Amino acid sequence: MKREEIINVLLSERTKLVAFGWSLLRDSHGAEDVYQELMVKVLDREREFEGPKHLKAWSWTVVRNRCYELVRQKNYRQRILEDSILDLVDQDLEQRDPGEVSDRVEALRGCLARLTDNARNIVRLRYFEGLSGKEVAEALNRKTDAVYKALQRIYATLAGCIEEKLETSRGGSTA
Amino acid sequence: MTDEHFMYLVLRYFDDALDEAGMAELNSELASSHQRVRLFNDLRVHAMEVRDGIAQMEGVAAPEPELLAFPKPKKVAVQGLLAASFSAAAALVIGAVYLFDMLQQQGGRENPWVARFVGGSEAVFGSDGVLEEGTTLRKGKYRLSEGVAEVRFRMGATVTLEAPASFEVLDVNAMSLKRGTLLAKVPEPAIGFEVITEKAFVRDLGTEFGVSVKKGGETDVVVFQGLVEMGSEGGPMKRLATGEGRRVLTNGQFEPLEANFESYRFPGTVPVSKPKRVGENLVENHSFEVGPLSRGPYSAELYRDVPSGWTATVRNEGEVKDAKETFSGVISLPLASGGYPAAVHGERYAWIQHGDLRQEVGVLEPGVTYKLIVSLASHPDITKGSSLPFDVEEENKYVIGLESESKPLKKVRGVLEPGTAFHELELEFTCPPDHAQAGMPMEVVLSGKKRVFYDEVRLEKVSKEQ
Repeated sequence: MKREEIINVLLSERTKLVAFGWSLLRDSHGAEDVYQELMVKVLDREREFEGPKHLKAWSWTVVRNRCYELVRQKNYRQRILEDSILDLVDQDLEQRDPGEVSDRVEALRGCLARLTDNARNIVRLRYFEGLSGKEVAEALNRKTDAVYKALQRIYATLAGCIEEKLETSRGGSTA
Repeated sequence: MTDEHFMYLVLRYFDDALDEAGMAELNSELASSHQRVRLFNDLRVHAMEVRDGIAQMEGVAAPEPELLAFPKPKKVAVQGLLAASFSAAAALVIGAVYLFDMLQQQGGRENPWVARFVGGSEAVFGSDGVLEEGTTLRKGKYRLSEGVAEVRFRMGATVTLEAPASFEVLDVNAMSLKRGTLLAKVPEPAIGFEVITEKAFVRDLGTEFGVSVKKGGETDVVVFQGLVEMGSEGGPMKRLATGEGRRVLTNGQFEPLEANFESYRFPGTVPVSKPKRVGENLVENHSFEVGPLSRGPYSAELYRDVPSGWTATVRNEGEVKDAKETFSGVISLPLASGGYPAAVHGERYAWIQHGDLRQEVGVLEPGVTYKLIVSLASHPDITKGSSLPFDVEEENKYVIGLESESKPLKKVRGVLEPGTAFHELELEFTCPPDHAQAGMPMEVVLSGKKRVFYDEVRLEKVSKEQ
């Protein structure tokens, strides 16, 4: 495969791969590192890939193995879903159409602007600055559970907004 | 279960804040419907993208709280700098950096970090900035006012800087040094790493090299291992190999540097911190600090002094290099990755661990009873360990256990007296006849509040059930 083709495949899978890594490692830097390691490995073998399908499958295997290897190490000791359930959700994520993921991400970015200042602040602390729910609660002088409930409401709002935008976009494209 | 409650569980799960009952609920819900699986995946994509979305909205990379006290980073294009000073060099674009840039442009996002502070010794940034290990550094200017700092660039190059130093993180594989001294180690993926000074530039061609900038911009470059290419404004391009050095004068001309680096101040050439007590600062990732850092006069290796009564060794991919024979009283640090520093007390080697020791103990046969024996010593000065898979005990109390696929199977508690004498903890365990993981290697896990020296883990077959 040509380098440009490789880059396009890696980019189209990036969101899913990093989200996969993040949800296992619970660490955005760790997930980014795994993705970067993947890129280095891919470049070492750029002539070996037979096509996008081969590269995608290979990339997911590399990222999955690396994440589980990290999970097994002491720095990432956390509860994870049962193996059979993990397979289920990971398979769904891997098979998602990158175009659909991309549309969703674009819609999400538009929806973030609609959040109230308070909601955006909570999201910022949790996902932008990487604080845990407990740390966010301490920063805002609130109870931890209240923070998770607030996050849940925010995500429900965002989900509604995203669906609305996607629906509009679908309507627009078929008109 | 309502969608709201499901989302609540997922958000707690992503934060590792779900108890066992919550995990059971979440597993059950995900197994029950594909719609739940879709929602779970929507949420994990959203969680990651929210971070980048906010960064994009505010036009900044993800900030690190520790960096807020620092001057706002100013973006400097490495190509621009090169073009200004060294037009010939500017034409050479390093493939890997190019790829990262291209990825960023095509991805429509800005990298949240380009380098990371990964450790050091009593490093102080600015007037009072003490960074936690792992703190990310964005593109921008930094001043190291005290101590030694180790910075790892995203492409893999590691730079050790000694204070006082002023530097700028330019890109994932480039930096500038305005003042001070650095030692750069460049692994293969980062070949092409560049250091730019007022009077010179150095481009790595697979090596370990040092750069020191004096007042007025006079720059010394020495190569400890490998090859570099260097140049200066108005001066010729030059390749330097192992043991070679050049001084770039303020007029851009080169002057040979003697390859005797003994008197040359690079990070680590002189003690940079107060001697530490044994075990006071045992760091993960195979680094080991017990005494002042020093550099060998003619080699690329770094050493640390080990206090009286202890000698040190490094196990490097199965080969034990005994520091007693080569360098009395010091431990050699920077061997190939995968080297495991260990200390020797008396005749016994002790791997240095804290918190969570994990080691495969072998294949267990279904129905067979085994005795697991772990030999340990506890040092009174060793500090608190990290989070543990088993119950955390009080000081000097340890738990050893067996795990299969990271799930606890059985554990036993033991108490160790503080000190360097070795004690043995034992755990008897019968592998269930129908155990799902029978036939797979099992790990032994040691946990405790204090760090520990361990000497041996062995598994003895006791009996076989009929």
